[in-house]
Amino acid sequence: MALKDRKNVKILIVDDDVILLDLLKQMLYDFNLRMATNGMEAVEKFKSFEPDIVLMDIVMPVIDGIEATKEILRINKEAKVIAITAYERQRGMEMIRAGAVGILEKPFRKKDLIELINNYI
Amino acid sequence: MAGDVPEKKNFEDELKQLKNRYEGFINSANCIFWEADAQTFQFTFVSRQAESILGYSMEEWKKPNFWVNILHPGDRARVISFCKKEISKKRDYRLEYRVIAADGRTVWLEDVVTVVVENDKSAKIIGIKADITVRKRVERALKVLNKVNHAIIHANDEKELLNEVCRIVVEECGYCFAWIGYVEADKKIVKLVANSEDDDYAETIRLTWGEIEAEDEPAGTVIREKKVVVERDIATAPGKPWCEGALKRCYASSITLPLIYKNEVLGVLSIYATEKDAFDDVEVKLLQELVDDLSYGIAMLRVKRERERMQRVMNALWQIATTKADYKTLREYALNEIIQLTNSKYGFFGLMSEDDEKLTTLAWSKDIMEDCKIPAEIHVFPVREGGIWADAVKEKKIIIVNDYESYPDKKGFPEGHIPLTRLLVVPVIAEGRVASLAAVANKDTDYTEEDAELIRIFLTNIQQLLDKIRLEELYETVVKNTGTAMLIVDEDITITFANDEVEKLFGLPKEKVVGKRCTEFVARDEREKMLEYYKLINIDPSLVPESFEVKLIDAKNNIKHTILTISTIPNTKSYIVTFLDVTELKEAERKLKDSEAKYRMLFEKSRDAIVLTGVDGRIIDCNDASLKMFGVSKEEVVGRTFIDLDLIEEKDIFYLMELFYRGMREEIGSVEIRVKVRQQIKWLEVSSTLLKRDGKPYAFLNIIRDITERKRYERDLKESAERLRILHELDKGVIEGKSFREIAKTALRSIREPVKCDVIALFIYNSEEEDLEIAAVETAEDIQQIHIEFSPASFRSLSDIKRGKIIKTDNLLNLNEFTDLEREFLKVGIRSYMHVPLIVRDEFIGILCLSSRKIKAFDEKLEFIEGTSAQLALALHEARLFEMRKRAFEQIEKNIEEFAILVDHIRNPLAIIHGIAETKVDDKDRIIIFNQIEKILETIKRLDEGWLESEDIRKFLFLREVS
Repeated sequence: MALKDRKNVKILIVDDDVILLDLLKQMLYDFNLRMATNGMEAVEKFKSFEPDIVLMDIVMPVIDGIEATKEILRINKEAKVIAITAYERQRGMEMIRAGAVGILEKPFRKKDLIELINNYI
Repeated sequence: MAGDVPEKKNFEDELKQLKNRYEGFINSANCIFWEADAQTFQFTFVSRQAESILGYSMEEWKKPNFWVNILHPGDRARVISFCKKEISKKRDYRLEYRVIAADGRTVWLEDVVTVVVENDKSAKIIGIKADITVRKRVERALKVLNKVNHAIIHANDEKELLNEVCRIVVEECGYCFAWIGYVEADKKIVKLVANSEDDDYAETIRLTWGEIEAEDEPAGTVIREKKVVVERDIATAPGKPWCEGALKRCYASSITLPLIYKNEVLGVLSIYATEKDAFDDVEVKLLQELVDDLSYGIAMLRVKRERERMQRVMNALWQIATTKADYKTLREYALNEIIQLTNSKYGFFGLMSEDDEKLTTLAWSKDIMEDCKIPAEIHVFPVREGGIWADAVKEKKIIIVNDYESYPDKKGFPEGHIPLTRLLVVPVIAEGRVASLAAVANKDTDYTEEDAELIRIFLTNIQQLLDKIRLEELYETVVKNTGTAMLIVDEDITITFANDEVEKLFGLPKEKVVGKRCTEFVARDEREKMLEYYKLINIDPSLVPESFEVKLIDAKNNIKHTILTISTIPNTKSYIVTFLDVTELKEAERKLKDSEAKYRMLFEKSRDAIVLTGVDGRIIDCNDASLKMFGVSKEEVVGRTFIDLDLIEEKDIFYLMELFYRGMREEIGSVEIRVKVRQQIKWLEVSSTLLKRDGKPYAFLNIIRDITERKRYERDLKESAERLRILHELDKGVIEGKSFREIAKTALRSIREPVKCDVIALFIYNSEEEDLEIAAVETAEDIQQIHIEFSPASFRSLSDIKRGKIIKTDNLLNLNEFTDLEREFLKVGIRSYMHVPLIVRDEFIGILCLSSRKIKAFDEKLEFIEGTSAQLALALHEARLFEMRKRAFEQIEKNIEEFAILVDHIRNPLAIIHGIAETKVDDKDRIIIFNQIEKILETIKRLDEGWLESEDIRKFLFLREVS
């Protein structure tokens, strides 16, 4: 996908670890990005930003990734949420049940991340 | 010539004499000689009498058209036409006609005319006119008399006759108007009953009269003075309304004649004529003859009518007397007759109650039912609320109302009542009181005394007939429905009558019974007795019993047991024989005896104890099984109560008394009671039936069964169920993950109830510390809490308990020394207790401690307590183990969870490190970092796999242990 086109792809990144958030921002610099540090913020930004993809951590304060995913899908049942987890066995499956379209296991390569994103745009 | 003169003179004298003689003759004769032109009828000569007969002057007579003008308008056309015809045919003629005299009178003239022919033409007519008015009147009166007499002879109806008379007077005899009125003496009125034409003049005549002549119509004078009144010239009569009307109609004179029969004025006949002074003496005489004949005719018609009506009454009575109809039909028939006899439209009749206060109507005319909106079911009417009919009852007199509207004493009708115009109420008096009453209404003409008399005669007779028929019907109904076979037998024992029941009893139709001898139906062995009784009754009825048993043989040769009653019919040689069929009764008696024997045997031989007690509880009778059950002899029990027999424990007496009273109210079927027989408790099931005689209770039939064994099984079963329930409670507690203490508490609660102890406690033995720890206590709500420091020393003989021995104290007060626990027990009223060891697989795990405020509280429950304790020990042991395992699982689960979080906590920094390495570190160092990360991930993966295995093992163990 051309660089120019990526700017049109809106991605909402949700993680409570600001360092990881920053890293992801760097990895996906050429996309149209918005950040959220907890589930509640993610839901709010989803409403206003209307992203094409949501990268969602699972374990977070206020509202965890599972609840946030359910809420986002209630707002737009076509929303594409990709779970990013270090704890994939049990909770990763819970995210899939909640409606996430894919799981990215921590730690991950940029290449794997971009590939996964490309699958859904 | 001289000789000729005397001859001529003589002739002239002679002629003169002759002329004078004829003139004298013509002018003196009481008729008019005349001569007139044959074509114009203008008189050329009239004799002098012309002036005096009609009052016109001689000059007037000779004017043109004079004769035509004075012709009566009614005759003019006829007369002229006739005369012209005769003249043209040159024939002499004769005719009678009317002319109007100068004073307006109508005068009848007779003309005898000769036609004088000259040159073969009718030149003039000459003739003589004679006044024949008087003759004409006589003729007219005679004609009336003749025609009326003819009408009287052929008359059938009074009204028709009267109308016919009026018609004859006018139409056939030339009078202009006639009417007949009847006298209503009490009201001083003459009622118009017939007139000759549909003229309202008759209505204008003032048909009343008073005592003073001046105010009267002529009719008034006629009635009061019984004489004829002739009004010769109405125009000159004093100005009365009737004269005015008469004059308007050109009635010039009138005659009013009284209709008198047997010196009583029935009414008047009034005749009018167009001519003045129309009625001369001869005519008056003839008309007087006419009214005499008419009066007689009317009287005869009335007699005839009354005779006919009476005949009809007699016929109707005869009809009712001879008709085979039921009472109701006859009642309606009778009413119908009353209505028809009086030409009424409606009617009813009814009977007065004995107290003279109520009228019960027996029949209403159909029209009433159709026209009247009053509910038809109202048949009884109180006299005090009644209207005119009630007045007739109260005053015992006939009431005739011919003008209902203006009748003063009417009460009015209820809504929907038929409108009345005329009413006749006839009370029938018998023995000084009104027995019955009939009322008819709305006859087209007035009701009369005769109508009333007719009804009275009819009702008096009909009432007797109806009473007879009603009685006959009643007797017939009684005979038919008596339910008893009834025969009428004559003196030689031949049956002359049989009712329906006989058919049932003899099995034969009545026709085959009637005519046979009574004895044919009596059983052979009883015929002698029957004949003997029959002979005796002929001699003296008192020699025979009023009723006796007789066996009959019916058509199918079945024997019928009957009670025969025989009685004589007064004044006859016949007897009424009735049979009461008692075959079924006899059969029932036999069956009862059989059944009594059967039941006696059932009673005696029954394996169940059967005791008959009175309502006072005393034993009346009992069978062998009951004697055996209670171990007594019959002599010992009869006349005594169960309480007397010392079978009932004192505590159960009240319960039994309550049962007894409920039994009296038929509220119980069977009950279980506990008795003590030879110091042994027995459970008995008693089924009691309250026996009644004439609706009053007199005894209880008690069927008693020993259910001691069944009770024992029931108790065992109940205890097993209790134990199962307790185990189930324990299991449930374990499954629900309750703590051991909670489970123990639930278990104790479940045990305390069936064992009926006041305090139950569970002590768990800690083998490591050799100490007892209280796990749970359950106390009765009304017992004070026990506070005590438990120690092994609290228990008497703990070592024995540990070895499995149950320690039981029946009564604490019997002990000499007390443990601390026993002292506490005494303080709260505990009297007996029991310590049961809980041992599982030879391991002492604790003590179940039960205590009660009763002494020897646990004897009966010992077995249950032991069994339950063993199961409780096992369950508690298991519960304790389960709790320990559960705690271990929970720890493992916690460890696994923590482990997973730890791994996650490693992966997150690793992801950051990986990201930094990928984005910010040079290639050489990045590879080193990536390699190190891979090694860490490898280690994590192995740990992960171990975690997974632990998770699976945990799940497996948990499922196995817990489920």
